Amino acid sequence: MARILLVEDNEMNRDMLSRRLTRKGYEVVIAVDGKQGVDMATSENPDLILMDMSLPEIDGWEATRRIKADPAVSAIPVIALTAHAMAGDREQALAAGCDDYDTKPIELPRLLEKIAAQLARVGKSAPVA
Amino acid sequence: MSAESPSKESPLAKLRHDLRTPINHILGYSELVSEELADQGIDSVAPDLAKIRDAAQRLLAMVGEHLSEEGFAGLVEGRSLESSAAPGSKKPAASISTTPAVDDSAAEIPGRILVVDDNAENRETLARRLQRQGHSTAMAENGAEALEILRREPFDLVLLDVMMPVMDGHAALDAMKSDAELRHIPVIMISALDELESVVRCIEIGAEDYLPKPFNPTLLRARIGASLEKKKLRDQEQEYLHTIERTQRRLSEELQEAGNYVQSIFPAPTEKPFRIDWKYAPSMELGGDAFGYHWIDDDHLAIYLLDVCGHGVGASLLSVSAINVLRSGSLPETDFRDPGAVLAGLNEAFPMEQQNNMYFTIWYGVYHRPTRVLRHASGGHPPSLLLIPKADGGTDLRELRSPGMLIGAMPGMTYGSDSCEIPPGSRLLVLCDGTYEIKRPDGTMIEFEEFTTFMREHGTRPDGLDALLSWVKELRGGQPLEDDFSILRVEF
Repeated sequence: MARILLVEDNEMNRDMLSRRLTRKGYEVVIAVDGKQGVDMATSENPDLILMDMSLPEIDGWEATRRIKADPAVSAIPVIALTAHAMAGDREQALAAGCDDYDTKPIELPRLLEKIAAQLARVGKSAPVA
Repeated sequence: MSAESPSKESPLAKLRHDLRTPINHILGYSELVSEELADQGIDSVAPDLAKIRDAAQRLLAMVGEHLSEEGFAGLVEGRSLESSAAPGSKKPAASISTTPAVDDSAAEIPGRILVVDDNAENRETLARRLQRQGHSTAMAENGAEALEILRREPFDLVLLDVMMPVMDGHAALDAMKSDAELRHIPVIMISALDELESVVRCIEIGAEDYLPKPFNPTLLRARIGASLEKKKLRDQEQEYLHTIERTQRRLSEELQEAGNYVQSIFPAPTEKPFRIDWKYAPSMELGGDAFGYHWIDDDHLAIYLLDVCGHGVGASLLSVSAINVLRSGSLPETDFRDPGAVLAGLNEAFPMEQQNNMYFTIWYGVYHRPTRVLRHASGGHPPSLLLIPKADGGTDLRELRSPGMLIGAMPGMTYGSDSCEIPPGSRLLVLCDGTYEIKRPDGTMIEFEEFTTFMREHGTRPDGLDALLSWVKELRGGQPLEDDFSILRVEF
């Protein structure tokens, strides 16, 4: 079962997304800020990370940079989630090392596709819905 | 935040984000609940959940449309969310979006307001809101620009951001409060909540109030209303003050003019055939003393000095009336060569009941040149003094007294005349009580004998009258005169 690390500070977003992903057959582990996200990338060994970009402590950009700078976890795909579709956000997300990028509000089918694509890229498989 | 991080989000982007988050929750949960219920075979609420999702989708669309940089510009132009969202319809989404009503009804006191903020969006949003409430506005993007505009145009109120480049709110306020032209304009500081400490400093140097960002519309309206009301009251107060000042200035000018007129009717000092001079110093702009002299015919010289009770405008008017009667000789059937008859005539002409309860004292003398005889009468007036040269070079002093009631106090009074022969080289001093009833600063009065002694010594000197006034002022010790001062001198 593919394991996803969801890094999200907003409780409702966290609850909703984790429940929906769980329903789709993923195992979801949760970090509530950037620092915890970085730590859990190592300790939880997830197959994929969904990273909210506006986070307290260290933000999603910095957390991603740290993850991508650590050879032990740098291969884990990171999908950035940003609240505002500002021009340039996609480029910046990719520049920070994110493997893909999606905007809120989450359209679940679209996000599931991106998750599946990233898992396939690293030789893992998405659960069969 | 490192350099590669996205630039600090604009307030509009933050607003978008803050609005989208709860809508996303509605959307996400309604989808989730739909799926979970479908799993359990419950589909009765599916249509309602679909409606909620639909409404949430439309809300999201509206947030995107109106809170984009372009959409926002249209919104502040006055286009409401409702009118642009769903024309002619009352869909739930449209009514939800207009629920938080902003009170933009006309302000009670419309004012001219200068909005100073370096953030164009803040500045324009605020200005438009104020305009919708009926105020007129101007904008400046820093303190320096604000001062320039303030010195050019009048304003009723300034809304001043604290943090600005070029010149911040604190410096601009400081400049305003040290400028006499701008000091009176009320200033409300605009500040983020974490700038409260500097707001306190601003209030200490004269800011009227402050408004925290983001604006609470009700608070904004209330504070602006209160400031404008205070400004209006203060403006009225200033207007009244100016009116009073103008009136005072005008009255003072008119009093000065009246005083000049009174002095202009006193005859000029003369040398022929006798040397006659006088000294006059009213205690206020207008005095109650008046005097004069004129030849009744070739042989008779009339000399007179009167003193209306009190001083000021009323006393002055009566003194001028009375002196003009004497100058023009206009008393019915009166021989102006007869002092007693003249005083009786004046007493009938100026009863105090008809003169605002004012009365006057007078000394009136007629000098008959061929016989060197002076006939005189007094209506309650101090005696005149006659300074007679002695063979040894000294001076004799005679007081020319005659009994008589003050003029106007009681009808039907008769006044007797006394006579005396005037030795050659004598000087006659006709005076009022203001020349000798002098109160020293310690409250004691000088004695009449002190006065006569002074006059015996100085009264014959050419500058004797000036010397007397100087002496009197000296006795007052710098205090103003309490009564009008007038003295007339004739050298026979």
